[in-house]
Amino acid sequence: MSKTPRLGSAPTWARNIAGREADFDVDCTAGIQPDFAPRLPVRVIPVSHQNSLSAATVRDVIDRTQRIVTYAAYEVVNGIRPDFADLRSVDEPIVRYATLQIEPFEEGSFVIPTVLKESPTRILSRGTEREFTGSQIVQRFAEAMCTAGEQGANASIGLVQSIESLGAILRREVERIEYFPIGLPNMADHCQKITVDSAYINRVTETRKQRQDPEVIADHLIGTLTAVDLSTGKLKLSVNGQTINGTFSLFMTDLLVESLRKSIRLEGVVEYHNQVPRYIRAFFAEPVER
Amino acid sequence: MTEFRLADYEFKALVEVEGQPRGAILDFADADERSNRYLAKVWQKLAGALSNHHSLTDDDAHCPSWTKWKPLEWSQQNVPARQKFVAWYGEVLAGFVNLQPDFPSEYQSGTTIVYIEHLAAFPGYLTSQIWNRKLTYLGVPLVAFSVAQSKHQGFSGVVGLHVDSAAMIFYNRLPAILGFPVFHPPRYDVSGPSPQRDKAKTQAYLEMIPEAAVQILEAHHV
Repeated sequence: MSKTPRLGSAPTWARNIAGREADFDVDCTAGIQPDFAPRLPVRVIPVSHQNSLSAATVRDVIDRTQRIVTYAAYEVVNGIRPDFADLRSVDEPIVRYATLQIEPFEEGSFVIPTVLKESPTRILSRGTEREFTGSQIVQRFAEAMCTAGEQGANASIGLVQSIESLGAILRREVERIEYFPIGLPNMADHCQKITVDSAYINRVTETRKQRQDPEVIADHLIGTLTAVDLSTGKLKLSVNGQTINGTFSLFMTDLLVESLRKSIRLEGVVEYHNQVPRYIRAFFAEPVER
Repeated sequence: MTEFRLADYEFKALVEVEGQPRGAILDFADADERSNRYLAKVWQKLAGALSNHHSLTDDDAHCPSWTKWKPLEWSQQNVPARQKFVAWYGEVLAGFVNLQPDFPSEYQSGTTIVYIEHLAAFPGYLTSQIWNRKLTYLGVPLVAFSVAQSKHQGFSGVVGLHVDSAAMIFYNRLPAILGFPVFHPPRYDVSGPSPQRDKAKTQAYLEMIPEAAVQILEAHHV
């Protein structure tokens, strides 16, 4: 069935704009973009922009991305444990929380449209049942991926090794892999598209080799949270009258804001000088009842 | 008092035929499987193409926000109060409006109006960096149809809607296009209906002046 467009006389209001049509006709689109499930589209760029990839390569991209996402979910729930590297020990509720779904593929692209659950999930976290969202996973994923090649990167060794494992795919048919975390507040511009190529993997590997430093250990500090800078991700903690500077992961933001000027226990990597804590990269926080 | 009949009204965009402005008559209908297929196969792909163009040219800052919309999801979403209408121009899905009736008026205490939840013209009929469009001024018939629905459903023709700063340019020009005042002054911090609710507070809220609704209906009467 083909229906012919119907034409009529010009609308009466057209005479109000006669001769000035172009001045008035602009976009009329109105409405509020609703919240959607957190998305993490993955774009695979084949070597020499070929138009096919082996099924094994596509499978590996999905598998390895799922591993990184599961580590990210683990860290959201339990905090970042630098020596953690065993996905088999991750509890089933976290595995379900981190499960990526794939929406229908677009024709003519190697974009894997992965998506996480929209509704919050309640999971036992250190003895307390808490609510977690897929956005927190995507946020943690983006943060870990963006900083994995930087000095002092905050991530479990398992997550870092999973990122490095993407390098094996790059050595085969793929020139680079791009991740597009979508719909996150507080996301730095450079994290809106994360490009994994050989240079990126080399930086991650170098950073991993430098992780061992006898003056820098996984530890915790208890003190009063005196300052939180949301724009830079920095904090100040007062321990026995001494101010210790530090950084924190963005998924901890809400809890830190609530804990300002209160006692708090921060876990993370602590830098010591002469056995005195000087700096903390906090991966987990919990209020301390006094 | 004569009965209000939607069939007595005609909603037109502008189209230029051999250098002369003509009315492009839109056929409004309920959203259905056919319109959903069009949204998936044509509408969203055009929006995606424009978004890709801006991305490939490192010009994301100028990419229109509507390219991120998911009209198919809205059409398929189960929001009980949402009324979904589409406007066909021949075989082209020229636009759509999603309405929610019974929204409390900001200006007439104790009365309710029709809320325009979404209003959008077909991407191919919007200005972009990569195509020339055929129909223009689709915003006018889409608003006029919403007014007619408001009248038809017993809400005096008055509509309200939230608009962002980009769309505000069009709604600010609507009085000059129609030739009479259309909206009360914008209000801020007004919630929308479910599911947006407080998220709508980030945008300006516009509500139609009752007299404007009457004049819009007169202007579109056949």
